[in-house]
Amino acid sequence: MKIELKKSGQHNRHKDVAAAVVWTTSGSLVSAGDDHRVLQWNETLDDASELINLKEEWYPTSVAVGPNPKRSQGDVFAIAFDDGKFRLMAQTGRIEKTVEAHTGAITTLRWSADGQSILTAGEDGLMKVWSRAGMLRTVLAQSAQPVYGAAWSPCGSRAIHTAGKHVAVVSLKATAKAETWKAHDGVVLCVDWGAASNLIVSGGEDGRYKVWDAFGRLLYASTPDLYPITSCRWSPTGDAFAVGGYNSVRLCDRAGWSYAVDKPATGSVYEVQWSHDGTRLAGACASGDVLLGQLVMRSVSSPRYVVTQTGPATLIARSIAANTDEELDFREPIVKMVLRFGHLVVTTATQCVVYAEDNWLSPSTIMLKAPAVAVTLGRSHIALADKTDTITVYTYDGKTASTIKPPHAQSDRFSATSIAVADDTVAIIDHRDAKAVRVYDTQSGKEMGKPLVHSVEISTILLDQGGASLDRCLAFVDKNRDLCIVQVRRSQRRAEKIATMVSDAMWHDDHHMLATLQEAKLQLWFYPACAFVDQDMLSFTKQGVVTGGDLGKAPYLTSFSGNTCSVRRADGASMTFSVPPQVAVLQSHTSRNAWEDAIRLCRFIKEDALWACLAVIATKAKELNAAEIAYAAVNAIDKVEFLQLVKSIPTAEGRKAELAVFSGQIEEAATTLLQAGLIYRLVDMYIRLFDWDKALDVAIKHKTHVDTVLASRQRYLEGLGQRESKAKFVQYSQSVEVDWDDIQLKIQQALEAEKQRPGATPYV
Amino acid sequence: MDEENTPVTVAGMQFDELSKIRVLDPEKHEQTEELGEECRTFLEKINSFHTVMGGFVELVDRLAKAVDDEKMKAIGARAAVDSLSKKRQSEEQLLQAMIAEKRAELERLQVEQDSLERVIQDQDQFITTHVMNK
Repeated sequence: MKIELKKSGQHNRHKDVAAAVVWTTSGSLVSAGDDHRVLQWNETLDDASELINLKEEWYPTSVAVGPNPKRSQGDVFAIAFDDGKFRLMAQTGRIEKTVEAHTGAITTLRWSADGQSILTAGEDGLMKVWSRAGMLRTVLAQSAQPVYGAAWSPCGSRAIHTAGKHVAVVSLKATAKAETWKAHDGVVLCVDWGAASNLIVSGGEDGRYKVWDAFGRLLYASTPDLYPITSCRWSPTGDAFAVGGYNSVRLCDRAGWSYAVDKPATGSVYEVQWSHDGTRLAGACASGDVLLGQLVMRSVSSPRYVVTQTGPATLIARSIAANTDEELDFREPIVKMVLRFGHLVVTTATQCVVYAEDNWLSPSTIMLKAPAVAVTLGRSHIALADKTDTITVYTYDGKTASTIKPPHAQSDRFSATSIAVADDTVAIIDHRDAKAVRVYDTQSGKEMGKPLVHSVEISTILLDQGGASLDRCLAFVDKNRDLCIVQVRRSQRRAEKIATMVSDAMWHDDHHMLATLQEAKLQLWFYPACAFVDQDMLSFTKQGVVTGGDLGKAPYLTSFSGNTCSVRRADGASMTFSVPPQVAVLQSHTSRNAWEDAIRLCRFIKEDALWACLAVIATKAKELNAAEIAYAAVNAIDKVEFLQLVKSIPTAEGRKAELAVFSGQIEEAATTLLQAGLIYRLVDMYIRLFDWDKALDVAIKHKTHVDTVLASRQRYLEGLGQRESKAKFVQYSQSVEVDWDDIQLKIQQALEAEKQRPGATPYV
Repeated sequence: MDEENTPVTVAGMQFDELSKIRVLDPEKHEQTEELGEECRTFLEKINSFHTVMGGFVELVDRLAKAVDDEKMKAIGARAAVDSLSKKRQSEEQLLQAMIAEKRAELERLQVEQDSLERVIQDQDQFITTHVMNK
């Protein structure tokens, strides 16, 4: 990835320092300079027209564009000046309002994402929030040093500002305490908070730029440049950011390492701004020049193809094996490109073009109603979030599967990590409450059940692609970096935390396998759903991958398909690791119910991890013989004995209930038994779980085995040497006669009756 | 007739050889003539000296101008050389930055290649242990 930079010509540029650039809502570039002019540039940057002529004594420092309440009248410009005032101006140059905001110059002015408020920071060390009409809302921060840079948090509830060598995050809620940390060895000059990435980038006089997470943990620090870093800005797509310094514009990956650096002879680059689609970059320079850069050489790859963007609207797909190139041309500039699941999805402003990997000649084209802001791929579907806050799900042949309009959605906060799509399920992180995930059906677009609510904010969600629909697993990483999985299509959604300190996770493209990055180590989970079946096997079915060296501070996963898993290291190097192929083979055997083949495979490979996987999968499928063999192979004698016990149960419902108890699904077990009318089993189950109240309730309700419960309770209390404390038990033990021999007889009768049931079939 | 005692002589006048009447005595006349001649020559010489000098001054002026020009050129060239070295320096910096960038890229690719080679190794090993030994 790199940026092709273009400089404005000698005669067009500002006659003095260019102080600010901004993209208007319609996507044209506007710049303001110390020559008291606001210029609007054409697409190619070779012509500029004067939009607003400012008064002689007005020196603009920062410009932001906000929505006009009356849409027909174009944008509203908020222009900050060095005398501490900012003015709201119409496109025509008419001054709507002049606000005396700061003493000394205003250094930064930012409009909030929802367009409702304006953030200003000044040399007087203050940071203030204004309504969009220019009424003061709050003074957010006061510091002893001038504030050179400030930015909104993605949700708009907090803001970050610089103060000397420090940066501080302040909340709009008055009660919350500001978090301050030392960011640089020199004065911090610029700061930005990415809406899509939720990461912070800062640059300072020490010539370094640094990437932080939202809690101020350092993720990356660059090597020092000779000159100060004067500007930095996240791309709206969240996967890259730009850094401006003296005679330099740098393009960096979200992890911090630099893709490319450009050295235009323009003096310091005071401001950089991305276009709304994140494909172009503008810069305001000390020489009065305005820079315009086009993002090119973006590249995506799959095991078979590497697709590289060579021009604004051209791609080259290179086959790795055959080393042949296929050139793909588009009518409009390319905005996004994603290559996964054997398909290349390219979006432009009005189209989404889908290629199958082997068929570059006849793509299917989808016309878009609004520009796409995020693209997420599943094995058979594409989820496209667009500017109208809507998510549309398409199949790879271009047909619309469903349209989802999540409540409270905010288009600029959609990203590939906040949407997940699988064959049957679409999951979306709620925008108002990041603790909640909304789950939709892919085909109907209807929300399934209530949102899944977690205890803390969720940052990344992923859906597994393989397996049965009922077992669809959502994995999510929360803000504490804990990884949880939950079976979203079940009525009982039980989230199981399976790993901590997870920086990234990814499901396998075809199978129920998960790759995680924990404390810079790559971990493979061969069957994470064992958290829902047998937690003890979780540690057996995971495997650390020998990465041969440190993966650095913030590595992320780029692909997990076939027999390989790729990781992008913190320094930008892509590393590929092999994934044992036997797990995939095992899973394809078990999905066909070919248990004999699966056992033969495990015997051949002789690995505990594989046996453990088989044990769990077989238990889940109620394939008790295979499970018994597999548990025996991993020396889990207790489980083998348990399975033998289960096998001795004469009814299928009884076995099902027992296995449900085994995997902790008590309610499911209870429903099964109740439906089958196996009351003794139900009472017995509650007794074994020491859930005395429930056992007694069931017994009373069905008027049977009340004495069994009471007797068991008595024996239990005697064993512990305690007295009866439950009022209900005291009451019933007075009215009910307890005779142990009688109870034994009744139990025998119940078991005998179960055997004689019409549906009773012994397990074979 | 006695030349000495002619009335003309008496009046201080004389006749010359061509018998023309002369007021001055021929010797003086001759000297005067000579003086006149000398004066004329002198004037001519002065004149020619003037022209020569004029030419010379002009030449010197031209020379001075040429020297000045050269001097300016030399100063310009020196400045250019100075700035060139500065320019070279910044170019060098730029190239160094580019080299660092490329080196980082190379390292990245190296790491990628190493990891891919390890994948080949792993796969070969898998094949030998599980397929060949069958």
